[in-house]
Amino acid sequence: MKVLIVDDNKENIYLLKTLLAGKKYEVVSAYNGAEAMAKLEQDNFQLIISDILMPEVDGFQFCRQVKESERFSKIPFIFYSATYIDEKDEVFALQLGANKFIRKPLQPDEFIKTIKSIIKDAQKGKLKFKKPSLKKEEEIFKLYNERLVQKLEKKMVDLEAEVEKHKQTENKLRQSEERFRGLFENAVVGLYRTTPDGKITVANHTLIKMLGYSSFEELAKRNLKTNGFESEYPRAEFEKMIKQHGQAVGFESAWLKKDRSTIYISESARALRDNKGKIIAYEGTVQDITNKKQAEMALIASEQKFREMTERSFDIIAILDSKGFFTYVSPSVTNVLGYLPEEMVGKHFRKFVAKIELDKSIKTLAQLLQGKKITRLEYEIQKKDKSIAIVEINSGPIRNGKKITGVQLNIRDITARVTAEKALRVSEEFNRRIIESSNDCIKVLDLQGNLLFMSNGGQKLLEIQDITPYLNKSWLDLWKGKFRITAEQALSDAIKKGSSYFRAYLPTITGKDKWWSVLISQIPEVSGKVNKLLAISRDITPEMAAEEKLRDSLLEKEVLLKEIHHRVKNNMNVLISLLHLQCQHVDDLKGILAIQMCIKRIYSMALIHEKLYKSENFANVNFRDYTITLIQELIRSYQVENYISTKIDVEEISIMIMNCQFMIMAWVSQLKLMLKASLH
Amino acid sequence: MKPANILIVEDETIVGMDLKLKLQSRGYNVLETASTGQEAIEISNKYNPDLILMDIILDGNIDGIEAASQISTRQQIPIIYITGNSDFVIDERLLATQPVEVLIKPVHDLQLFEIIKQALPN
Repeated sequence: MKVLIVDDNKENIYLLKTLLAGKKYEVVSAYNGAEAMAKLEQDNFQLIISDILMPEVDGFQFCRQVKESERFSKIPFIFYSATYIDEKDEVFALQLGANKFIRKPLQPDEFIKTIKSIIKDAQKGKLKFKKPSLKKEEEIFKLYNERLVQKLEKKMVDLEAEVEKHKQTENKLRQSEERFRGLFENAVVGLYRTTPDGKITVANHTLIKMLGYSSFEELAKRNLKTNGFESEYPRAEFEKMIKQHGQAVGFESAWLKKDRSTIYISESARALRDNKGKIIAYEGTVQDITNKKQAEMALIASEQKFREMTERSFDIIAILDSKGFFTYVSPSVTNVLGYLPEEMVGKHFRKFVAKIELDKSIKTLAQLLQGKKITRLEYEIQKKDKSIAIVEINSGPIRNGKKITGVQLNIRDITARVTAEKALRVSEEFNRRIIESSNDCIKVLDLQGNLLFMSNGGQKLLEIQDITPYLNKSWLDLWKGKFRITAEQALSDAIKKGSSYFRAYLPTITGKDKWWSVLISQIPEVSGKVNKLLAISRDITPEMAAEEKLRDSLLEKEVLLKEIHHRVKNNMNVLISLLHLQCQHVDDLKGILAIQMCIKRIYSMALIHEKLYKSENFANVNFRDYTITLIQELIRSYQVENYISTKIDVEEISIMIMNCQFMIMAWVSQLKLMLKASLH
Repeated sequence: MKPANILIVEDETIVGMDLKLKLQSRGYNVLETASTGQEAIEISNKYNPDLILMDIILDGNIDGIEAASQISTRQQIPIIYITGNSDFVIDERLLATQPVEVLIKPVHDLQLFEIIKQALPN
């Protein structure tokens, strides 16, 4: 079943085609009467549905041609119109030979039902086909014109209404446009439109003022590409953004104002494209963010400064969040603990605290999160190499408004200091024990001789119960009489020469005799400067007593010796005198010689006695001295100095007194024979 | 020529006697021997000897040096000390009396005579 549809409206054709195709009709369409006639010539159609108002050959004319044709008059003809809906239109149409007149719009079901019944009637031959009842051309024209004029009048009325409606719309549009223009010109943000090659075609007052210009014309002289707003205006980046995303939102850049000062802006823009997608313009908004930007830059500068300080610091600056995880650790951590900052950030602090410190650190964190500030806290922290570092932590809470969001830590490595302090304590303790265990009186004096310290041992020796009254008082004043002078001299010697020594007497507080041997030496400071002296006094009272006793005893012995010496010599003299006297009464020559021999021996003994007495060492005699004297005396006693010349060559030696006696005997005998004596 | 008068001051009788014999054998005139300082002063006063041989350690309160010192205040008599103790050689008190010599006992005869010879005028 073939249906020809004639309508100048594409949409109507499309609608009918769809509707009929759904019911298995074959549809052919034409846009006007003339075209429809041509289509009829080419094919056989079982139904014609036509509109009335169409260009060139309208529906009425087309119907008349069909019904007057021998060939096509038997094809059922339906008018389907939205414009000619008058009763007279229908009458005219039927007069022209149309089989049905349907007014638009009609429900599809109703429409199909009507078509089906007409086709059924035509097949059964029930449909009446009649030639146009109007024979006369004039009559047709009269009716046709009537229909047309009526239509035109209606059209005129419609048009007038249309024009009125347009006027109203235009008015509304103008009002809207004015409103919009006001909005455009007075907007808080700058608005613009530029060509892709950088020419400014539109700019609102706000933008013009923002950039320091007085008029649009003045601003428009500036071309974005050749005379940009900013030396480094990132136009390419802006264009790329728009190309990729179709728009740019919150694009920040710095522009130059008319006076070349910088204005920071935030720009949002989109591209306007033609049908082919080519960019014909950019339009967008510009917001002055100079104040915000400057504040931001100040903040960045301050942050940068803080960061540099933090990162240059030997201390570790770290931030923990409220859960105890590191959110920041300064790079100095690497030097101190061996970790890289990124090895700590995001980890919980407990991983780095020595186990024994864990409880303490958790409590501390809790306190910090309550808003307490904690300073000078010592902790043991495990280094990356598993060794322990002792650190001092100063910390405080970080607040966001009233809420505490984290904890800031300032960590300083004090391992070396603590170790040194510990060593120093041990060393000091050791030194103190040495000093306290000493039996000497150990003192520290200043250069004026004031007592700064005295060891407990020393206090005990002097029987001092409380040292306080003696401290910072002159130590020299403790010495009395000549000993004070000695002590003063020793102090000044120690300052000049480095050390000095003296012995002196100073009784204890309760008056017990004490003799002291005192050694004063300098205590140089690390710088080498001497501000203090060390005085060590040893109690030498027992030694002094012994010495004194010895001295007394020696003195006594010396007196005794002198007496003995005198007595012995006297007695020898008496013996010699006795022998002399005896000689007077002896006639025998042999006897006289024997006596004289005795006398000589006694002389020798007296001589030795004398030499021994003069000798420094009672056990020895200077042999050379003795020999010379002896020989001289012997030679003189024999009255032979005129006949014998003596040459004495004796070494400077000491001989034990016992040997000496034998020597004398030998000497005397030999000399008696007048022989040359030589002894080496 | 008249022999010189010599005074021996010696508390040890035997020594004094021996000395006296020796000097006499040499031709000197020996006065009576004084055994104390006091006697020495008195005899010197009385006989004004040409030479005194003076022992130092004597009986009594006055020793030889003291006696010589007192004698020298009135008389100019050469003095030779003869002592057993050689310590006196450097005794300041002794040197103040300006002795001719200090001889240490026992004195060799030859040495003694030599000194006496030197001490006496002529």
